Amino acid sequence: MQFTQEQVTKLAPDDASAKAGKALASNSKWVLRCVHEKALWGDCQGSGKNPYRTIIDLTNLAFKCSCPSRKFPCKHGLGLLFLYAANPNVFSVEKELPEHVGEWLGKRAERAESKPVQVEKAAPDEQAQQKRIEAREKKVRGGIEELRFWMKDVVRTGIMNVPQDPYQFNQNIIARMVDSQAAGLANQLRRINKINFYQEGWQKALIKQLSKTYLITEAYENIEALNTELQSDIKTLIGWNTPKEDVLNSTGIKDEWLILSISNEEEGNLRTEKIWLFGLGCQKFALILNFYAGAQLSGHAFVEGGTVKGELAFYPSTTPLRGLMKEPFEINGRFIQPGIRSSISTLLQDVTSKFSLNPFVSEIPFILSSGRIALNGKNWYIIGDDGSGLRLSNNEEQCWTILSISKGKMFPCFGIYENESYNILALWPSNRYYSIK
Amino acid sequence: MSLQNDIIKTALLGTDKIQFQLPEELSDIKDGITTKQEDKEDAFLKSAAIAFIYEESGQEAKDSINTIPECPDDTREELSASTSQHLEDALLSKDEVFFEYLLTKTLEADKTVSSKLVPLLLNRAIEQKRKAEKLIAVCGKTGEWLCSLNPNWQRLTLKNEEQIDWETGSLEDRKLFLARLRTTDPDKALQLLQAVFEQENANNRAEFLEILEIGISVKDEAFLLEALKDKSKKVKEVALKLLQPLLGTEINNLYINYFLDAVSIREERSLLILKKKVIEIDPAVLPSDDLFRYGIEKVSSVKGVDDQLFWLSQILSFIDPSALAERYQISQDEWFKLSIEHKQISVFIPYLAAAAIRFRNKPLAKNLLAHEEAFREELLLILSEYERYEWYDKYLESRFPIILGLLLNDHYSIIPQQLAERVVKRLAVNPYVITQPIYTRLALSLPVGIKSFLSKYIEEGADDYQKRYFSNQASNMLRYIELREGLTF
Repeated sequence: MQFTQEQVTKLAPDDASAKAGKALASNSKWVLRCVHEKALWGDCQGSGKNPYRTIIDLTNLAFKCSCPSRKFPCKHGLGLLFLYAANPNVFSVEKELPEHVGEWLGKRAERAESKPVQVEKAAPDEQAQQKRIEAREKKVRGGIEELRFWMKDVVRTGIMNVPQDPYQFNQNIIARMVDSQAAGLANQLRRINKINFYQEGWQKALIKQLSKTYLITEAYENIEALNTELQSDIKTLIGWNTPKEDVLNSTGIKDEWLILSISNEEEGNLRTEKIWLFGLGCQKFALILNFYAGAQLSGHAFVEGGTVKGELAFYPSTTPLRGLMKEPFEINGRFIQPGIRSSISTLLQDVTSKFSLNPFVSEIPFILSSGRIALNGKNWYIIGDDGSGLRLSNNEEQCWTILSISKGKMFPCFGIYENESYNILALWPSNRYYSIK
Repeated sequence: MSLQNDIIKTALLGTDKIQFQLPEELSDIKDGITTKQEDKEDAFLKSAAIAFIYEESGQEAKDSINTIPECPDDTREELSASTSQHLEDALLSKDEVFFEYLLTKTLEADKTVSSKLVPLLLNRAIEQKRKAEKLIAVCGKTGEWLCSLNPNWQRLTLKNEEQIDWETGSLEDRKLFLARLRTTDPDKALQLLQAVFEQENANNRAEFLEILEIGISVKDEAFLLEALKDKSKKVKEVALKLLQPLLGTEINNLYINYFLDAVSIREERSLLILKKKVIEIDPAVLPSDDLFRYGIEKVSSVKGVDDQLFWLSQILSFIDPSALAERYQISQDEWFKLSIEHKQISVFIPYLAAAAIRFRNKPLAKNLLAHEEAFREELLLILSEYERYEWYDKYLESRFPIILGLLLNDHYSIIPQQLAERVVKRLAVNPYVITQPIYTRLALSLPVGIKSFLSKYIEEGADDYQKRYFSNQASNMLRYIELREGLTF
């Protein structure tokens, strides 16, 4: 598997690691550099007496290093991979794996095969559990009641004065939702803070978000009347979690998944990583969400634009999207362009069908087989073959980058439909993958 | 749209002031809401939510969007993906030295950067005006095309004569216009300047006048003499600076004539049988007052040097040495030999060096460089890069910072192995004499053959802080040499 410098850079947990890794991508730093079809290994002379022993699993990208760094991958792992990406000829090709490499790869394979999906260690005390659920349910219902009062108050007096203090406007009620264990509703309310109150159109965005949140509470009050999947969607929107184990225990889809985009959003001390996937066989989209607190680093080595082979299990939903990758899986660095025929009108049809199943769906992933971007006044659009277009929600800087990459020509792209606009996250002009950050 | 407007109107003013009703086409939903209605706010919020979903579900793509014309194809090839990645890394990690190197090499190879980087480079061109031309050049057609579309980048487009308005343009634009015209048509440029000269302010007059140095000739004399009468001291100084060395002008003739009158070459006997030429200065020849009016200082400011010798030395810097040798009917080398043999040579040397630099006289520059006390960096610049190496060898130890500065030129020429080893050895002894970015810059000019030589310093035990520091720098330099090796242009 051959990597590009760009791919290796994206594997770095932070900029400092990428920089330090590049500094180590020099022959002189490595007293040993070897490659085998399954692994890459080398000894890097650090400041200590003994060199650091670094191993990279090429079959299922993973790193191991004897250095004390807590970063993953560490600068040695990155440095070795940078060196391999830039100059594979300096590595001696080995037919046999040395003992320490073979041992680590063997352990990894063994662990992957034998890793059972975590089952509950002991049967829970059902009565206590039921009590806890009831107590939470009571708290959530109390919170919802308060939220509905608050929203009614807002629309009774009018939203005209909200832009005067848009941040403070909803802080108390968000805190109240957190207290009442309705984190999902708190997230819905936080979306209000992302509205640009200095830009025309804030009125619609605000009332749309308020009314949608209200409708979620209404749906929760009548949840018994809904089908199981929609019940699950509503519960998730309120803040009830589906246990990871339940998802991993369900049957997933085995496929080769194209890693369309990896993006990060930070709020407070929490970083949310979004990994968008597309099943090359099943033609389904999936979203893996990872949450990291503080300086916690990503624990995977997915390569944007590459693929991952394995079974993916979805969280229950009328429009399944969020999922979990079951182990073992195989990461591949080769770029693949999805072969899909679609247009802006099929995107809008898809939006309609998704809404008909689940009116609360917010992010709709979509691959456009051909589009070009255009600027009308101050608004950017993606235009299809037929000349019709959809507004882009990418920021100004991103739009100029997309225009520069595509040179004003048609290109296939992947993006997310949300709030009547499309956000391009990746594109493949001239069969090359570019991610937009 | 009217449904949306009604919702927004109600939301803005509040349900206390205005009532909202769902339209008839949503009567089914409306009935459902009404039966379970808690109050008017409950009805409004539910109705609004449903109306928004209803509208979004049936939305159609917007048509009649103006398309952007496609970017014209570039005749130049794009950099390879890996080199492009190095350029992006250098740019984002603020590795200015390596970024500058990659930029220069891309231009030399007549290639363009990856189109993904173009917006980043254009933004940088806005921030760093001095580098703008180079940055725009590597952006190729994509850059030009984006500049024509983005108002922020439009000002980066290089202006040509037709686009610059000589009368209303900015000072920089007008200077650019005049300089370009002066290169192609010096007479026309002079006429243009003459026409507006008096209406310009003193600073502009001085700045425009300086541009006349491009393609200067006797034809400019009348205008420059007129400028000597200007009210502004700065303008007068510029005009005089241009006239003094200009061959065939009244001032330059005044200088030459006095020099020829006062200095003669006489043959004298040496050891009875040998004849030897010597410079003889006639103290009886006195200059006219005009000489001092035209920039020659009257009173000697050099201790032990009489006024006449001081005048002649000053004049020496304004006369082309080859023209002077011709007037005395001797060779340039001979003229230099006579000057150097003069008992007060130390007075002449700086002025001879100034003449060599001003008239870009290579033989004189080489003769002067042979004398340690005559060394000036500008003398080396007159020589070709190949010719300089001889002098780099000679002056490396005594003038290390200057020689290193010249070795690290804008063309990133590779330093010959032997000289490179001497540079590295010199730095190993005193590693703090240059900074980290200079080490990086040096690595980009070191020959690949030096790798094993550098490795010795890396492997060597670091027993003191200076050696440790140099070992790190050597390792860093080695990495850049390897990086350079892996680049494809």
